[in-house]
Amino acid sequence: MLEAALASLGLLFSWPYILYPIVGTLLAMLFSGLPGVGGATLMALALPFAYGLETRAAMLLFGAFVAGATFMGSVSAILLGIPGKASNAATVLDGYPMARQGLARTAIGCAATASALGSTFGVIALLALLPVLREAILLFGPTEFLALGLWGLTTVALVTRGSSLKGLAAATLGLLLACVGTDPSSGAPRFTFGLLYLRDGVDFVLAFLGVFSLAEVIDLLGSKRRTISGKEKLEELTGSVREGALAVFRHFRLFLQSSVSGTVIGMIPGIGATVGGFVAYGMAARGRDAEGFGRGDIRGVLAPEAANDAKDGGALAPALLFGVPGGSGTAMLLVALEQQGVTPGRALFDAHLDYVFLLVFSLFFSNWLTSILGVALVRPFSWLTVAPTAVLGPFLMVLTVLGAFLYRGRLEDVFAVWAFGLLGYGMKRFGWSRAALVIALVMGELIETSFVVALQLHEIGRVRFWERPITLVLLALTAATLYWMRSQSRDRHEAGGRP
Amino acid sequence: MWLERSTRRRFLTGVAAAGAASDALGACLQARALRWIVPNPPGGGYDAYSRLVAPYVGRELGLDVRIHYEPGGAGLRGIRVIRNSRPQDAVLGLVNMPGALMSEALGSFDLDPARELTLLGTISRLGYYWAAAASSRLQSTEDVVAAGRAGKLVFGVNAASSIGFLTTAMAAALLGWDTRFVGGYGGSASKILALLRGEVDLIPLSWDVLVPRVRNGELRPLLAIDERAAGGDYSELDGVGTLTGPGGLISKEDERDATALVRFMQMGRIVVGPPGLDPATEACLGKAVCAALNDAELSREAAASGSALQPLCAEATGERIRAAQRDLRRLAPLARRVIADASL
Repeated sequence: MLEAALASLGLLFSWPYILYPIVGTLLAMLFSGLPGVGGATLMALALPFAYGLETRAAMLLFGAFVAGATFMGSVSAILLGIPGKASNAATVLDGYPMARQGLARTAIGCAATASALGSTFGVIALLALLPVLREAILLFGPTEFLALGLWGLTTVALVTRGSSLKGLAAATLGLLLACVGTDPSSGAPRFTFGLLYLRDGVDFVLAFLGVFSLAEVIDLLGSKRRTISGKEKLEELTGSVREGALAVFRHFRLFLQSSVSGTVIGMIPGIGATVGGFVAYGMAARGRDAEGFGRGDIRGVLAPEAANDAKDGGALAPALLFGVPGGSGTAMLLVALEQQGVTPGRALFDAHLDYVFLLVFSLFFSNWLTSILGVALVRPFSWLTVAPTAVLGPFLMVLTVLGAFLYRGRLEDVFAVWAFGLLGYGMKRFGWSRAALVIALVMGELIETSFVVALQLHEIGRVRFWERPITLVLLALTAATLYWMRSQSRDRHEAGGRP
Repeated sequence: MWLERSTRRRFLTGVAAAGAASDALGACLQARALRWIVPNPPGGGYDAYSRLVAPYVGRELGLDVRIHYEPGGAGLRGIRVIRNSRPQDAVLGLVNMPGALMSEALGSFDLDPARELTLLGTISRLGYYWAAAASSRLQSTEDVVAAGRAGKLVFGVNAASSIGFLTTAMAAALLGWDTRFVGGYGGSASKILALLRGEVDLIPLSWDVLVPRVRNGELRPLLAIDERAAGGDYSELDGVGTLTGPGGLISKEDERDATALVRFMQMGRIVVGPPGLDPATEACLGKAVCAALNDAELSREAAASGSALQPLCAEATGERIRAAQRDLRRLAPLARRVIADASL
């Protein structure tokens, strides 16, 4: 194993193979600048060209594609309140308020550092756990997914500021929207109103594009703010990249906690990238002095960023071991592997361990390169926060609508994003938590599908909830979280605070 | 290293062929590029087959090929997109004909794909296979038969409306087995994981998903809901029982229904175009698709990537689909019964 690792590392840094991860990273950064368009679109476009590449070169290129898109999505989440990918949605919650306070550079510095170090953690964890990964992943079944979904849903309360009743209502709306589509076991259409478009359910990428991206643009255009940060010159911005980078070390325990949760969630097949960021955010917001979360607390940037990039390494595990993609990026990676005649599974690790290492190292290299370039470009990026909203707003609106169309090439998606955009604007205006809606939408599908399968397995005696230790631990965590939230709420009430 | 030799050869051949073909088949479509519709998201079997076959069709027509994904409604949206295209739009696509015809027969799709699309050829005709984990207690077809007769088989499926469930449930009903189904698994990968976790005993898989995992040593095919066509590499199916045919498991009185089921599933993946093509264009496109599907280089590529090609040209495809529709009329009551009985 060590020989394969060293050989792959040597190949990565040799000429001309080094060009592949560099080119892959730069292309991924370029593509992920457009909201809703990300690594998966780039990979789909690159597939015909990659077909003729040598397998090792293809591994290096696609490893970079998987990793390179994540950080740029964070940059737009921080600067504009527009998450580049669904997994960056949690970063908006505190990153954008920081930009509005003129602290964009600090936020980006923190995000870049957390991303690079989180990725390092994820890769090290993946390599360290390689011998036992397969068995570990098989421990997670429908009951574990259900328990994880329920625990993730408790995050709703933590991202709700103000009236908890409104947060609950927003989450309920999210759960209702998750019911649109088809029943997971019977396949019968549900709440589709006879429209084929709704048969596949409410796409959460479109929902977050509307609820976050478009809603922010509408708010920006309607506000009296001349610029996002309220400042008109770059020199007036406070904070620095260095401050942001040091924050990761100041809150190192939080960084480790987030990286662990991101890596673990990434390794669980079928969970999806969005969950990781919100779970890490939720865990961070349960800590001490959590009042600042949602108002520009740097920990609210650190946690999801570390988790998102730690997840990349973890997500390779189910993809390579079982052919189960964690998201659209790894789905396209699997297509690329198949194109090269490489089939995921035990045989890949037995006979082609060098390919695995090439993918992992390329992903790692790309994450670091993206963070370094992101930091180097922080000055031009920050200009967006001092650009006149009269110019920026229409440009962002066009970009968001274009992203909605490019996502699947369907005009109906543009209408869907507008509908969610108006909903999101209304929610923002009247103090309803948009994050609660998105979290519930994502968790709702996971919870229902897992529940349906788990119940059937329980009925036929194939699975017993009480014989699954991981399930019990997660359910206990959920109960503990609910109890903690109740006691926090009671303490605040007694102190004369909000309910 | 930068480009494999086969790619350079294909590119140069394509350029040369485009010049030659443009005089003949290129006149099929007055367009610069062929728009190839994939009715599923990127990364699935239809995507893989489209990427394999579409360039060859494009070469025959002397046109660039652009792959367009039109996922939605379990593949039905893509079919609608092709049906709504105009003849001059230069649109072709790959559809799951069994799934589409079944949906239409059960009233959940308002389009008759056999009548409302132009049928141009068949890419692959293999059916479904019941697979177990390599480490399963089920090691042979005999084990499956014993467990099935004892009512001890549990299948993992997508949903009660999925073609995988319908095929499996109908086959089990014809065999007289009382089987349980666990539905809600989202896709082949989820079903495979369920198998490896020991939650279910068997899962139905199509050929292109099954073969790489059999070669990988993870899965074992135990029963084939297909007929063994001539040609192709079927070493993975050595010793595996079949539903019908010589040595098949089905009883004589149910042979007709079982054969109808196998024949229905055999329709496979069909290359289609929009309706309303004039006869000359339709004949021209059919010739191009036929030539592409029978290209020796394509066969080699397909074999190398584990994809089974059993091509049929337009006329044979049409005959097969008309036969399958007759089969479907026979099978529809059984399909409705298994859906109604499903405890999903």
